[in-house]
Amino acid sequence: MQADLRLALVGNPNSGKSSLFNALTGNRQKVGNYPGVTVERRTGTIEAPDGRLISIIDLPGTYSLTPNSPDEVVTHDALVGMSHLEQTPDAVVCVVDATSLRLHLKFVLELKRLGHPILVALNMMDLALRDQIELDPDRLSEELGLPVVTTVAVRRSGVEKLVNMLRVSDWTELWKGFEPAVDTSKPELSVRDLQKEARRIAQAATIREGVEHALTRRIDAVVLNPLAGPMFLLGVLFLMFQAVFAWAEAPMEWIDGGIVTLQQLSLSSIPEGLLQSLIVDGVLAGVGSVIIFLPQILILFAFILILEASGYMARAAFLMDRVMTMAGLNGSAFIPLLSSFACAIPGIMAARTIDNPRDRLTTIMVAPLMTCAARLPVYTLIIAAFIPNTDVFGGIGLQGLVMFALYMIGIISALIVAAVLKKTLTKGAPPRLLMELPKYQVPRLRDLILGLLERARLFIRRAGTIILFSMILLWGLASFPASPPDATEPDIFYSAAGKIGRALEVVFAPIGFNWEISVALVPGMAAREVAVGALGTVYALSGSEDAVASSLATTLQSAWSLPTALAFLAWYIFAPQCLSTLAVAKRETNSWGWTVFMFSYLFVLAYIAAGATYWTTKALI
Amino acid sequence: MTSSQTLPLDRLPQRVKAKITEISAGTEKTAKSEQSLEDLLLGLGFEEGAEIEVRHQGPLGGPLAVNVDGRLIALRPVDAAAVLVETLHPFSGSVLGS
Repeated sequence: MQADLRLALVGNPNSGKSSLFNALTGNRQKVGNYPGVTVERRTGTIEAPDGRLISIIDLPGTYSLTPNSPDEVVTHDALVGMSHLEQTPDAVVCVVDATSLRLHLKFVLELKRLGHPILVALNMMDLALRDQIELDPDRLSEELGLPVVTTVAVRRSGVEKLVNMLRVSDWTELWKGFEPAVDTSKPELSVRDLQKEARRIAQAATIREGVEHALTRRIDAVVLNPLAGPMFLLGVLFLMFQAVFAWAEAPMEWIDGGIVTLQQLSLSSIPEGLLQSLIVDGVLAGVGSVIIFLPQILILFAFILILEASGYMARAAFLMDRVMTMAGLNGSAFIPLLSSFACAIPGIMAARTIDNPRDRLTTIMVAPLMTCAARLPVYTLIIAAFIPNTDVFGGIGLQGLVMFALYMIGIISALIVAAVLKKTLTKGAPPRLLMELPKYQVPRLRDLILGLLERARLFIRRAGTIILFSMILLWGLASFPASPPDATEPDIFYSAAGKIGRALEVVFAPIGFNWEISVALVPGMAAREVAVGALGTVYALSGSEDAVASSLATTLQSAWSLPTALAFLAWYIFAPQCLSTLAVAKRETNSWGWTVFMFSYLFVLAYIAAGATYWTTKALI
Repeated sequence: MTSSQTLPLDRLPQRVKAKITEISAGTEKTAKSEQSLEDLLLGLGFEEGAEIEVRHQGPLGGPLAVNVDGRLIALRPVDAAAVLVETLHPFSGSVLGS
């Protein structure tokens, strides 16, 4: 579909550009990725009142046209016509925050020098009103020599006005009467000259300076207080995790029930044989093991999106900066790492908010060390089977203590690995923390829903396709060749997966793993918790998931020694085997090298940790 | 103390209003494709003449949250040292002791 007009939205971060884009395009938007860089590409097409098509691209927000981060390179290249990814726009809508006119005007002046026809959207007029700022849009238009339209993107007000402006038959008429936007004849102005000019225009167009947003100031007095602030943050995090684990329980059960129903349906409607097994054990079990995490991931992202839209996220980074510096990271790595406690996939995806590419890479590399929800079934099984349920002191149980220790070892390892990486592979100047703490705002439901839909789509597509493929592959490995008629061992023993597992035993025997564990690790590649089911298969147990888990605990008590069990726990702190995490890491780093590195270093750490645990325990008992 | 004084931003006590007199971060870039500290500061609105006030500091000697002409910006003390400010009103008390 060829658009009649290509419009680009540009502006500073926090200018409300994305809200304006959402208001303009609604659900007729497409979010994708620029090939080769992990920068989101948001486009949409709208129909002008006269039926002509206008394509709109939401270029990444930037403070200046000096390309700094990968986002800014995309914006810069597209605007100067250097981009091979993006056609040069016919016209540019520059979104300007009315409450911070002077700073945003500097960007407009910089933009003007590129010679595009520019329409200035004076956005956040509602916030300006709230802060008692009074502006003169006509004077602004006159001073800038550009058409100006006032908007409140979050309420769609002014958006129609903007669309109506595009109704004219000849779009160049919009800029009629304004001085030619191109004034490249003048020598290049320095940043300071631009600032001076921006200040002059802002002063001329401002009728009333306004007062500082009192509520923001009052909230900050509490949430940025050195004592109350961290406590409030802790409360927010507690609520977030409570929500992720408690609220998600019911929908996760529905999904589980739905999958089981489908499996039973397939069992009764498809004749017994390979096809039935493929659908029940391969496709349905595989897809089920991924989408079961969708509720947790959506709740987590809802929190992240609300924290971001309200303006609190930057404050959390501010509070955590000192702690994160110790690991060579900066405060913005905090939320991605925190999200990884639910699942490394949203954590790695959330790392996009980190500007510095090296910091982002470091964060992605250590994200899998945070104990994700998929490890819980494994931890629960082994702890129930091998750790006595005794009180250590004062009502603190040994089992709970071991669980806590497993989490802590993960966190400490992540900090150490990050610190080592920052001194070696991702070496560079210490990351700076230099960011705006935006004014508080009530998040808009529409932006939240659009954001959630987008995240859900990304998760299902990225993780779903690779999981489906690998589950079918693993199913094939576990089903062929079939066991001989005089089989004495479980079926899986004779299959390709069993053979691989037994071959792997050579590798794993020194750290105390028997062939049963080695075999279970192979299907466990799909997702960590699948190892529990796989152990059930290896020990030839059948029945419902819970029945397998409880009888498995009894079986393991006699089949495994304590050193082996503890070594298995230690292995799972680092456990590299999660194909979806690796797939997302590949996607987000855009590098096979880093993906292989992630797998390898996790494998080595898991191996050393399991080995050390095995031999130490063996020596002690 | 009876007169206004000039000092680096990281030594400005909290809630004392000041004006930026100089930004001298040097323009050397830490790496290719990265902006110099001076460019970053200028981009966020730190400019000569702007009104500035330190509002908060993160725990354990963490970053500063400073109000620059109505915008709240977070930056670490080490980077704040590149911004020289002049207090608007004389204030009593030792700067070092704050």
